[in-house]
Amino acid sequence: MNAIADLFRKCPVTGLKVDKNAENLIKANAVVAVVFMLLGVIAAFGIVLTRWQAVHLLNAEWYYRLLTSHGLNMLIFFIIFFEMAVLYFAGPVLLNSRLPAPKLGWVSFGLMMLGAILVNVMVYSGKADVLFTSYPPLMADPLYYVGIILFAVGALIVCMLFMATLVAAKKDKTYPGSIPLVTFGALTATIIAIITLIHGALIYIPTLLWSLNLMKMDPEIYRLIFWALGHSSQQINVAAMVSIWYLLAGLTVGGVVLNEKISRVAFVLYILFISMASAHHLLVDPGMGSAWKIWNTSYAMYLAVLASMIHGFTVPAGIEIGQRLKGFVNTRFEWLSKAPWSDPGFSGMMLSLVIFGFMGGITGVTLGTEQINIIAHNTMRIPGHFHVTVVGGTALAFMAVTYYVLPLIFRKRVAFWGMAKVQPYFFGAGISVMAVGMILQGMYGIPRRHWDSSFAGSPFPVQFPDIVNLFQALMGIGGLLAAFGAVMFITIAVATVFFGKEMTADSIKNGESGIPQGVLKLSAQVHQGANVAAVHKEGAKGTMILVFIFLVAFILYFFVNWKILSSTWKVG
Amino acid sequence: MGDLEKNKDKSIPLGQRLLDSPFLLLFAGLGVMFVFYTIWGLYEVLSLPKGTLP
Repeated sequence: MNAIADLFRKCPVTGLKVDKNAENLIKANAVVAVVFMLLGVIAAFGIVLTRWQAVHLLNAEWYYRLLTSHGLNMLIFFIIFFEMAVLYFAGPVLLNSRLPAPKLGWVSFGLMMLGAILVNVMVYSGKADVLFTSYPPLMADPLYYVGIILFAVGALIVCMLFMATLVAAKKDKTYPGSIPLVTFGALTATIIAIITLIHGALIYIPTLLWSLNLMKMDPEIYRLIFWALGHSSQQINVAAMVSIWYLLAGLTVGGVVLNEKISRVAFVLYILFISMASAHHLLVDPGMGSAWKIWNTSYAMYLAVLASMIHGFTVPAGIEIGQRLKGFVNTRFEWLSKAPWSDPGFSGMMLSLVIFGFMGGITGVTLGTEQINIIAHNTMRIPGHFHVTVVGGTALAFMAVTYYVLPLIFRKRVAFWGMAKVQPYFFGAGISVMAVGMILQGMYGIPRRHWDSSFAGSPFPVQFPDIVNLFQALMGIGGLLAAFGAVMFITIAVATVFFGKEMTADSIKNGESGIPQGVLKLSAQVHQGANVAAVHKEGAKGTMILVFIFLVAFILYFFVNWKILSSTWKVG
Repeated sequence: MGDLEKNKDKSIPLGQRLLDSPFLLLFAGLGVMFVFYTIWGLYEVLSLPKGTLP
């Protein structure tokens, strides 16, 4: 009996029963995620200072090497290690359950580490200058592909462990009714991860054999299957990020879930349709027919976009209702103006939501339109878009939840608390300014990935208007600001984990520095009382106003692009 | 499973029982992606006529 009791500890803040094996795996995966983020940030400095043509820091060889490193360390290693931590939290911890086969968790962690290190060694030794996409006929050293395969196998094992946790928790009856919404979101991320990783195996095993000269590789088939890995891996992020929005809305301000059924159905729409967005990358490939392109890039009639819009409404509306239930009812937006904006968990989550929705969502749906894509494909508009989804959205949400993971899981007070309060604003502002600079450059045709936007020495002269220099400066300044924001985050996380002060019951009671307000006093979700009927009758009218502003911005941006298309490509 | 638990299961609406089935959701997700994106996409590429030199 004691042996079973030793497996768990009770969280004094949330009351949850925490499996110590799961907790250690959360810590290991989160720490390693931050290390790979650091590698990605170092590369980011070099890339942004090279693409900014006035600076043009690196030679072509090092630029492409760092671009490869940046893509892999940020889009794959940092993000997926962090997502593994999310799965260990949303599974065993939120379900009050044991983690089945914890040793397998460490085996998968070892495989992922080995894979990620191998890939980085290959990249930095100059044997894999193939960018994130590694399109054939570009060929890397076979060990590079082995590294990716090892990492993917490790991640797949963690997904299986999460599914096994669901089975074990149901069998042990550790939770009443259905699994919590946050766990359901994590299940969505897991299913998308399994879809992604199976496609990864389908393409990287033949690519490994091709690099060993054992078989031929068709570049078009490579592109088709690769993007079911390359783009779908970013849809794992979307599901994990939305789960974190729901979690932080509850933890920081006692946000409610407006309607469990609707939120869950929205997650199911992700499971069914969001991975199809991979087809965006093949919109200008002549080998694919229009029917395939349109069906897949509209995510089956935009049902997955509808899901994002549902979450984009229900999260802030849940926050509005939660705040109103606490008494913030005096004006239309008192719930927002009196929200805890100095809590980096709250500010990071809200900024993530706004940046992802207003910038990432609107640009993504527009770029995914087959006709408009022809004026944007492979221009700087594409990295402009995905930096506000993956970085301004997902990475910022991961940073925000870290400010709660540090005290709740690592049981440490957040170091440099004053810096932590402003960090999400630095990072969010920087990434937004950078993305705007990229999108505006792309509108003038500046290509993505390319080392030299002046095309010096090319057989044909290529001229861009002078205003492009201004947009490049905007990208450069924004990029540096975002990179500094990321360095602030890494400094805070590392200082807290390795040198931070313990969080004790006394430090919570005394309201000491470095403890977010949601941990100092866990927000209660109020469901009874005189105020409740009035609040429910009033509804979330403030959020509705924000929704209409979003829709107007969406319509304007979408039709401006059709106007640009009509003046670029005159028909008749 | 006892009668009480059987009756309890029946009282759960069908939609909720579907949402509570992680493996059903997994196979649905895999099925939709493979049918519409992967298999249809492979068919598109593999059915292309061979390019000939002018």
